[in-house]
Amino acid sequence: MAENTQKQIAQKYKDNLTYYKAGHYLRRWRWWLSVFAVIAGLVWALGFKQFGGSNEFFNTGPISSNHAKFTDRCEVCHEGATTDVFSMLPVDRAKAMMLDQKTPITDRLKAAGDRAKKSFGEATDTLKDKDKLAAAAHAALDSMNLSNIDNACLKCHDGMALHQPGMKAIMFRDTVKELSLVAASACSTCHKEHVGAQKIALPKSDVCIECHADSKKLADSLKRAPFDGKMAAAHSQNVRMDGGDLVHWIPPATTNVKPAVIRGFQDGHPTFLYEQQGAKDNAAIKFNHARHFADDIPVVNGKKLDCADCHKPDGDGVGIQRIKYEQHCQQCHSLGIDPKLPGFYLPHGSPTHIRDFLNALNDRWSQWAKDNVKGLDGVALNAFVQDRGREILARWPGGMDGAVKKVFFEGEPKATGNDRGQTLPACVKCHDVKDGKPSPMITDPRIPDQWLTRGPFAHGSHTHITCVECHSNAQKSKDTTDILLPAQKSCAECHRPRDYTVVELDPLLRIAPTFGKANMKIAKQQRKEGGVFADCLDCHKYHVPAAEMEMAKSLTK
Amino acid sequence: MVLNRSHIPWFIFTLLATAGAVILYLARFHPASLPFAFELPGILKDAGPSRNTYGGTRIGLLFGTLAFLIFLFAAALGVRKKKRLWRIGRVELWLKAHVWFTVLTIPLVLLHSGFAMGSPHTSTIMWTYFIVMGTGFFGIAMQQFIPALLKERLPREVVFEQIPHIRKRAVETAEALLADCKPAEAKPDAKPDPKAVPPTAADIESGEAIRDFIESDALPYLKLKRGGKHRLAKQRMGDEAFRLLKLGVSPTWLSRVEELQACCDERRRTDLQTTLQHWLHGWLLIHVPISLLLIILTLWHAIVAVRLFVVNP
Repeated sequence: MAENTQKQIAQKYKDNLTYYKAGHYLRRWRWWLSVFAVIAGLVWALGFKQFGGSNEFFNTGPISSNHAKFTDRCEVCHEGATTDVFSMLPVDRAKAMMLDQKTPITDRLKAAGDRAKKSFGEATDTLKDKDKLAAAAHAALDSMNLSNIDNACLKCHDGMALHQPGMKAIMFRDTVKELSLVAASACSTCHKEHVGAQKIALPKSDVCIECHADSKKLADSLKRAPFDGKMAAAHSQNVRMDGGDLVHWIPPATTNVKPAVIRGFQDGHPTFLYEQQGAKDNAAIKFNHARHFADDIPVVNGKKLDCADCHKPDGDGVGIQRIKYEQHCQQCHSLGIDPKLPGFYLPHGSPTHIRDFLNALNDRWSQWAKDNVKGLDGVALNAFVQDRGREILARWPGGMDGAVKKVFFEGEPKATGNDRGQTLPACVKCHDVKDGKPSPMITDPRIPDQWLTRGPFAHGSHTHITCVECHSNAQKSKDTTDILLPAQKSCAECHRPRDYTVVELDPLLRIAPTFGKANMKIAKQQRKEGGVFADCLDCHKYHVPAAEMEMAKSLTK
Repeated sequence: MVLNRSHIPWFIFTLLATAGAVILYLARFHPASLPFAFELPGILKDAGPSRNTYGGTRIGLLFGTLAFLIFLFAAALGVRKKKRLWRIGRVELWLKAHVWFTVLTIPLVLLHSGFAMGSPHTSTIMWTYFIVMGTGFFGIAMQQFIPALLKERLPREVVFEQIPHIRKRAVETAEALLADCKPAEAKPDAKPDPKAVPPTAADIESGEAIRDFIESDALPYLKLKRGGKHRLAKQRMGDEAFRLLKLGVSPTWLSRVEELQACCDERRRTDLQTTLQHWLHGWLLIHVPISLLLIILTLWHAIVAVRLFVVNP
């Protein structure tokens, strides 16, 4: 059957010229598979919940342990949401229409058709009218703000609406003239859910930087409200907040300060508030740091004075113990009014107590003699008291007024040798003293317990560094009003992302914080390479503390 | 569809659209990584703060919506092919748009999903999408060289849909030859044809040889559903078998043997054509149904995602 002509070729197809009507098996298979895929897809989508499908199917990731009890209860957080597509179909309406026996079926179908026609007409009108279309588009976009999830969070986490500047403003509201408020972002901006079964991780700095590195965002989101803080002052002050015991250093009350654009602790972070021009330590105490490091200062407990002799860390490793006269000063600066009577000291504290002590000197001598001299009878005791009285009158002429003058304003000449430390420095040597009756008045010293009001600082994490590494001016400072705290720049030398251009050791190894003894090698390495944690949340808090929640809520209304 | 120079504008368009989508994505989610300043258009800026979602942002929704519309457009190619007389652009243009727009969905889908598979539901959609795209790319690859192979190895390509008919005719031809090879039975009432030449002994032997060949080789081969493993399916073996057959038959039968050989050759060619056609079009058996499933799953995803996140009761 040679095929040399078209006719011969066409012979092959003879009797089968309608082959195209039947369709090829590949096409038939494709058609039926397509039909099957569509039906299977629709049944799957519409019947998923009807067939007992779990919400887990739509879960983008494991629920954190914080919210583990809500697993498979999407509606707790996704309020009003459903994964049941079938329920969205107007099945009930259709069923009601079909079961309506009063109206003829033709009328029922016509009514349904009219409704569909009306909806279609409205949709067509919207599409034709530019304004309507724009309004519908905006309404749709506005509805996509996901705010419902935040509202669901707030059902349990009530009041978590204010950002940290708000918290700062609220906590120190009595010292400010302006409340700067920033409403908190969406909860999910920082707290990422569905990313693992472990506890929700705290956000990293990049989340904060997203806003804080954007001047426009900062300007747009910040709200300022004038506030008449009763303690607000144009100068820095050391205050006890709300009559509490803790002394805070408070910066001058400012207004309308432009928020800094921050890209990291080492990049754009403002200097600490105590670094600003004119900031002073108004501790109302006179202390010359430089003098205490001078060469002629005698050794204490067998060694030269060191920072740690007075500044001892707290038990929790966070702060430094308060300076107390009895603990830190008395050993060298006793209030001994009689060098011959060791331990015979004026009381340290209230001027009234001092005056009372002076008024009752005879009793005090007598008591001292009873405590310190053995076998003293009444006659000898009297003689002792009279002898001390004569001597002190010789040194402090003028009776009680003379004694007060000596004690509060003049003091006694410095003693030497064994009597060193047993002579009386005047109160005025360390305190602000004003003359007054019946006794002079001493300004209450307020050495700040807390300088960094916006975030915690743990001395315990820095014991591998010597004190002067950070407090470099301390040994030179002569004036108490000098603020001897480290500059922010100094902190950022270590607290910054690791600089891999200068890393000497294995770049994969992070420099671990060292809490042990001074180790200048590590300190030097940290300064050079950085890499010590510097996340915003290492220092700053974001949400308003529970104690201030009510105040916070009142501000956001 | 052969990828040639006419696709260059489409390629450039897809490249530019991808770059545009990536810039929008970076401007929205990683502005610091952009080497230049770029401000998002106001409508693409989310009203609220940023959240732990890519697909739920306006940019993400834009990418998702565009990808879904492209899915619908891609599916419309099937309709366009059926309605060839509609004046809505040439099918070739539609095919090019089908290919390049769907290529564009790769960045759109990845940017919409934030490069994550998400839930089992969205993972299912993603795998469905990968299958659709994979089979699509496979199809395009096949179309680059199979048509040339068909042209080269099948100079007499037949209408694909006629192949079953042609095979049927070949079987009929073989069966007819088989019937002719059987010795005629003498009918008692038949009048002898005075002009008829009585078959010679050689003719009878030839007939028997041909009959044996047809019964044992040719007919089983021609009736096979898939003839690939039969010895006649190999060109050289077939030629050799027919050469030997021709040597053993008388000249009277030669033309009939050649006719039988032509049937077997035809069968061999249609087998090859079928195989190549299966490679050329077989992927559509997966591509088309899964594409439709993808559209339904994507629609389902859109509804559920909106109901889960954007609902404001």
